[in-house]
Amino acid sequence: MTDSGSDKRLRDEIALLRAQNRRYRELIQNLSSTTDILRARLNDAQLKSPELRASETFGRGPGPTADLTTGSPGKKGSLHPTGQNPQHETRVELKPLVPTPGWKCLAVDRPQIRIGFTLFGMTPGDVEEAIEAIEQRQVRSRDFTPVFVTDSSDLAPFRDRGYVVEYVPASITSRAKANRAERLYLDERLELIKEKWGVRELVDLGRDNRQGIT
Amino acid sequence: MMARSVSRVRSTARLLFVSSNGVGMGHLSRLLAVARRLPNSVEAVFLTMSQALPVIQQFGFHAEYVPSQQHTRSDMATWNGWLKSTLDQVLEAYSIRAVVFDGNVVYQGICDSVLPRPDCPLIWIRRGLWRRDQDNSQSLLSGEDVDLIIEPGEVASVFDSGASVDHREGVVFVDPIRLLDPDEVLPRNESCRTLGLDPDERYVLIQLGAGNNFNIIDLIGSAIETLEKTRIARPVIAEWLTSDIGLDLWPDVPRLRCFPISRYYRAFDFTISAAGYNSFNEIISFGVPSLLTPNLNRAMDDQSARAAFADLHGAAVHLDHDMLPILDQVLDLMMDQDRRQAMKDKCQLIAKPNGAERAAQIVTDTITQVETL
Repeated sequence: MTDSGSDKRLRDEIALLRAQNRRYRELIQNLSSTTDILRARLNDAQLKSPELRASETFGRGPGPTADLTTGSPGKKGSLHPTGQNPQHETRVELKPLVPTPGWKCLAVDRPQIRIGFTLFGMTPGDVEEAIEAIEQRQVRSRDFTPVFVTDSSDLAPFRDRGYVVEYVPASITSRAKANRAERLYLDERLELIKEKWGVRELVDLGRDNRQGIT
Repeated sequence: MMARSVSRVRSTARLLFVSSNGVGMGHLSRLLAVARRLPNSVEAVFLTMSQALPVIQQFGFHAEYVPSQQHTRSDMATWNGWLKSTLDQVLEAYSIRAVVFDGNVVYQGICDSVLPRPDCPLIWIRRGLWRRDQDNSQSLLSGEDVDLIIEPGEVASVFDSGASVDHREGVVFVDPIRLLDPDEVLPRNESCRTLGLDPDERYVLIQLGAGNNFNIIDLIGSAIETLEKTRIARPVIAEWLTSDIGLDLWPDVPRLRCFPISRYYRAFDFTISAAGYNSFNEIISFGVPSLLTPNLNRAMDDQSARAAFADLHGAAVHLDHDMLPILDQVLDLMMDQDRRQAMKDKCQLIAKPNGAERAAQIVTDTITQVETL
């Protein structure tokens, strides 16, 4: 077989795989909507199996958070965020990761704007509500992909919808309580998350900023 | 009072425990087992790729999270680059003195971040019993540069024929690492009361793993159908906190969602269980009669070896998925109290002590050695 022959065969195979990929994406997108409907109906009919939870919580429970101003430095001296950070200065340029657009927009194949949303200091119910509102907005407009940053340790609401989520501990996101080192760390962390996902800006939906979801 | 407090905090050395995502809770459970046994002078901080963040906080530890390569659906090289950047930030922010990783492969991003820091050793907790038909060359290669490999023991270690067996130079062995010690497992009545179960009823715990890489629905369905038909015991399904699939498909069967489930093992007359590292070692150590149905996914550890070993010693029954047609007969046998007692007795004969305390000591010694160099 000539090179051009084998190239053509390869191109055909790639085209076939792309078509298959698209069909699977559409299938997942449709199944995601169907699953929501079925789940709601099972709940309405009270056909969900009961959940057993232990009446105790084994373990020490939430302990004191690691204070960034303490902790003994290593022998070479601390590479503390309050000081210079050689790793960042020499960081190799990396290409941003591509966030998944969520199950309900999985088959959308035109370019998407990436928008970061921070959901800090919110109750689980408020987090759920915010993700749902953003999902509905995305399904309507189909022109953006959300990247979430949360301080809630329950990542299931994001995962269940097929979204990307990053986490920052609540002790660090609370600017009122955070010390200088923690505030600097939070800024660095959010900056890295933006670079990692190719997000230009982060929209703050936490605490008193929830009116931003429309 | 204040001075004492400050002095204590300043003498605290911080370790970073890093767990890969995995399909269940195994990597994280082993790290928690070690972390909770560290001396007061050493503080544990976690960086996990697992969805089970709340469990880490339940045990009183500070946790950070980084999405796994599977969850980001990115190429490995780019993801490793970002993992390195994240780890650099965490190591610096928390003034970390050593990194303890539990996962199947030490990611390049971890090596790139930790190895250039001579005062921050990298320790790999490397579970054994790899499948013989796996290509583990990448795992073996990734371990060449780490400062220390700790291999947690296996009850079924004599059945280990995986690739790690021939690469044990410099590896430190400890007994099987378990989260709980026997005195932390609640007695039957207390277990039942805590879970809201009737201690006069008979219960079977179905714990087949997270189901993230193996079809467990058919087996659960068959077991429930058989148990309901024979009415010999009431099934309870263990639902993993990291599971991608909901197991709320059987309206009359309760799902148990908590961690660690082994704390309540005595509420159950027997268990139908996968043979992952943690479940298996807990079942044998705490003497729970069991039907072991290995997860046969090729990416997993050699669960069939564990099940076969226990079966050979009369400590459990090994039931592969293709033996489902005889499930009713096997369940009937499991309801025989003498048989269950015999299994418990055999479990005690092959059980090994908990190696978590020793692992915690080794990790602590590693920091001390770096300090004295």
